[in-house]
Amino acid sequence: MKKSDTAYITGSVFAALTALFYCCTMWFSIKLPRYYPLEHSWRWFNQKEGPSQGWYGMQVFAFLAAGIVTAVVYLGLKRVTPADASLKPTLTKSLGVVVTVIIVVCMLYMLYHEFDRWHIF
Amino acid sequence: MVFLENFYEFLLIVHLFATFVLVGAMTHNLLIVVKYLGGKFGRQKLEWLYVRVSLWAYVITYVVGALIYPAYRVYIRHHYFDPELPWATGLFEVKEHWGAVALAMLFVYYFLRKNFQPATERDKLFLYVPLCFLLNIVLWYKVVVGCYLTLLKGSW
Repeated sequence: MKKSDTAYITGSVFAALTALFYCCTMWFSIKLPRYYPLEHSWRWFNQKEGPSQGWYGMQVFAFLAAGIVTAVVYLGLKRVTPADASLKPTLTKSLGVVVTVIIVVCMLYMLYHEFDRWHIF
Repeated sequence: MVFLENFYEFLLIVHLFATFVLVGAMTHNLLIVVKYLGGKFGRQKLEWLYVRVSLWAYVITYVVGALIYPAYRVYIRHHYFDPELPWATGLFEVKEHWGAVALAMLFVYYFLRKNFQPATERDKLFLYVPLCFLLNIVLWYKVVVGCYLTLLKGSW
């Protein structure tokens, strides 16, 4: 497959999945490491007393999970598709639209999640 | 003592200046990318330069922001925003979530641009152009909310 097509597919997968996996940490309340700035320590649970930061863990989870799946997709493309194959225009356009929709929906969910949690609405 | 507490104000200024570079580069990038939709591809080299500048500026902004986050979390959010202005925390949290997703989007944006020519592979603009718009929405949200929250309480 052409280099630009491989980049397009793997980039699409990574962008969409990072947004999706990031939302998964909210949807499924996945337990991730949290940093406790006053104690300079990391813990796996959300201790209610004192401030803590879960944002670092959420990012690492989303980037790692999306990165692993993207790597699998990349290796799959390398093995399955012939070197001279190219992505069809319709598929290219559809993939672009689908990825955009996924990212927008995830961003809107993040907005809703925080606005609802902090009673902004 | 919270991590990097003594350097908070200096790092906040660095964060701000890197943001100026980022938002300037990304907005100018958008102005060129919009013309791609009308079939005008005259400023591709400049557009590619803006993409590279944006990526580096974003990485610097992001790393510095992550470094000053503990001090912000304790002295501003925990002591002031959460009890007094919870809506401000809500605005900030959206900024951080969108910022994380935008980091991935910007890497993809860079990677795409590095590997395709807008004038000859127009189908790929179906992802490239929306990414450019989304990145600008996120960045401008971050700039406006970040500056507004700093006006409410930027230090202690």
